[in-house]
Amino acid sequence: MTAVTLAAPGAALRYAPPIEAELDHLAATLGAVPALAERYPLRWLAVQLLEGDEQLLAEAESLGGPAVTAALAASRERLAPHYGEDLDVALVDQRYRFVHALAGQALTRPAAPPLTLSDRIDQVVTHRWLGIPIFLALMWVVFKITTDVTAPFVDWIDATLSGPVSGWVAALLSAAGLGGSWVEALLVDGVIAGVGGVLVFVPVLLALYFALALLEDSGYMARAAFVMDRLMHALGLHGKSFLPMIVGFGCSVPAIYATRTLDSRRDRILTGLLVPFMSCSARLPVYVLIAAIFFPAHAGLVIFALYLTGIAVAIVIGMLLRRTLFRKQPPAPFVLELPPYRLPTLRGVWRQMWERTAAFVRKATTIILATSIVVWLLLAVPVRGEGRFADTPVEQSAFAAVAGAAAPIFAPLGFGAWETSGALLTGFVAKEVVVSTLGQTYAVAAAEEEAVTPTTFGEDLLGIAGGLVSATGEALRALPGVVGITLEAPEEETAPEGLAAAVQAGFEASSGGHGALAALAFLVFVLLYTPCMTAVAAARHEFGSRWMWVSIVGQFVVAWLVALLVFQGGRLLGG
Amino acid sequence: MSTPALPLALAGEGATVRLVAIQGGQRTAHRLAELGLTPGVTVTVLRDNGGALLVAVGDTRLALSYGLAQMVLVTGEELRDA
Amino acid sequence: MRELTIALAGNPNVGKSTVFNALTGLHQHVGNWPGKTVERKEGRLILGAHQITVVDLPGTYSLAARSLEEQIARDFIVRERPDAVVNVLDAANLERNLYLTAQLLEAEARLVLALNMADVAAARGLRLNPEALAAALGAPVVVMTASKGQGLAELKAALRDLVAASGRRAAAATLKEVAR
Repeated sequence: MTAVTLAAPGAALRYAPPIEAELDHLAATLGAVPALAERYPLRWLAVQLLEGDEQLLAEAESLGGPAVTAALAASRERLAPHYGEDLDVALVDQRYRFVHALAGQALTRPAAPPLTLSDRIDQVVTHRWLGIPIFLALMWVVFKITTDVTAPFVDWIDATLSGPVSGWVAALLSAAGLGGSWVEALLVDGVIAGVGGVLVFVPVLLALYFALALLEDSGYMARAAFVMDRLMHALGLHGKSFLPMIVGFGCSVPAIYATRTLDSRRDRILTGLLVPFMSCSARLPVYVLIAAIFFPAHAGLVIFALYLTGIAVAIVIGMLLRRTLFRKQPPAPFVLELPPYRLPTLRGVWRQMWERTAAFVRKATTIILATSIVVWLLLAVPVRGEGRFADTPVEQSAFAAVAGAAAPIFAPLGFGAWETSGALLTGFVAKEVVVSTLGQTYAVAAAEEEAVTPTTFGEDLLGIAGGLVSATGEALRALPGVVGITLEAPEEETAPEGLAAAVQAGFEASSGGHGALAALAFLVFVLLYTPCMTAVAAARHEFGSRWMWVSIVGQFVVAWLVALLVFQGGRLLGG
Repeated sequence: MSTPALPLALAGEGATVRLVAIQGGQRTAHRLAELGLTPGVTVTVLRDNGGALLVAVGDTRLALSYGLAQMVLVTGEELRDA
Repeated sequence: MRELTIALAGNPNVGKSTVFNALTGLHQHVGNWPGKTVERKEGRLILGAHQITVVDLPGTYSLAARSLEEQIARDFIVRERPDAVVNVLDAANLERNLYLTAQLLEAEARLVLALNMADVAAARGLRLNPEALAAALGAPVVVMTASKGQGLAELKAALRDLVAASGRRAAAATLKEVAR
């Protein structure tokens, strides 16, 4: 009712007389239905019905009955000679005429409109030949920022949690008389490890959101979509999906969050389902270890082939999904506004980084903490032998029992032993732990358990601060690498003594003498199944539980089938 | 005025044309109209990358896939004197 | 004291979230619209004695409700009837942005127009005449460059006037109730 008292004598939007006449008719009919008159401005409702709003039509018909249906049909019939099928476009058009007149009063244009800066930038950025190289160069920078520049901070967080923080907890517990108990093991190996699993992603996500905010706020993202549209069309996706794919080579978690830049839910989900096939950096140590053991002469080639396999699988699955699950949802017609280029503001960029990363921490912590504790419990509970709770050899734990029960699933793939299925099980939580689990399950004494020298709280704080300073230094040194200059030789990863022989023997045994093939199948499996628990949490956060399960099950089935193809196919070919 | 209408997708880079009508799904026509692609409006094709167009409509810059540009009918008359 | 609600509406890419952040500062809450996957941002603005809830509606080109975002924006404006709608526009693309304004007017929303990114418009040689627009629409019009904090005080002043008017109206309504 307040609207009436306000009623400033503003410009009223009047449509062409035939439409106005019908609006009056309709408003009168609608006004006779008290429920509608209470809920909506009547003239507005009449306009929406003529414009073909299905949701409001259903509501008006259910509240107003046949009278509304009849009145609307009659109005449409009377208007048909004037506008034919295009009544709704005519309404839009007439609204634009009103707007045009308004803008004419409110705006004076320069006599000779200058070529805007934005248009001039676009002449380069959307250029037929320059557009794609510029885009790829920017994507390379984003990729390097989310990996190389953040790596020192990730290591710092990891070191802080597993060193001083775990030490403090242990000290506090022993002060409380619980030193060395299962409570300490649960807190250190379960809870702190779980929280660490979330926190190590914080620098990665801050970096990603920094890059995304720059790309979005500057207006470039829309140009990227235009430039890459043609290439991505083959996957049933738009150009905008390219960015999450690239980010996926660093880490699936920010890649899944990067799908948020896509416009339709269909595109977000389809991209989110394909992103995990891009081989993330956490899988690399597994490749390096296994390839060094079985293919010492061709390790590089094997690893490169794995990356290509991931891309190929994504392309095939993308085309399959487009024809099956997403058959009824064709890609949304691609029309996209290209906003003028703008200089992003520091405050805006910071706010986005902070808000989005905080949202991840809030949503992911629960699920990851829970999984981490479950895995710890499995490792802690003895099912055979003399071990006590939280003090049992791995092979006698519930973990070994579960892994053993799952092992037959992998028998056709050539690696149906509990040691490997155990590694895949923890790999579901995080790919970073696959190598260490292999070390544990093959009962190789962890050689480099560093001797812990007692430190004071003050020393710890100094150490943490010093670590942060040196991490920042390393990150700054990694910055030139962002543009492709490498200042330092990459670190070599070598297999611990004894592990190589044990792994080799294990794979030979489980595959009936086809160890190398089984290892290849294992690598393909690691490449294609669920990247980590955090990625699962991210998928649920972004797409909901249903799609999370589609993603988990789908990736498992794809990984299993492709690994089967590698192992059995290889055997048939006499590998 | 007698120039025959052709799809915007065929107009070619650099062309300035007048929009005549939008064919195809009503939803599509509606959406494009709301973005300013209404009958009578002047459209300049800034870029044609073989899969999508970059067009100027007033102060708006739009990227438009060929699929949509096929539905937008325009007349090829030059508008320099307008 | 009555709790007041204002909504921010506008096209995508018009700096709406910058205006929202400038109005609400750190008093923000991010959630989802009930039953939807679309983000809902809400914040608090204190104007004199009034506590105002500011709701940032999804950026839309129209209120025709063909997409989830449009439906959310439209349902909020038509059904929840916020005390005012701040329509944020790109001053450098005024005509296309005014299309949404026309729809907001049709929906009988109480409008304040914020012509944002005035710096870009000026750089393009566009001369704005906010008085003419205000007179034509019967709604306050503020010219601003939110990213540089320009025009924010004017926007708040316009909202304060609106709130005061709304308070008077509410009092009048109460008086009428009592008289009855």
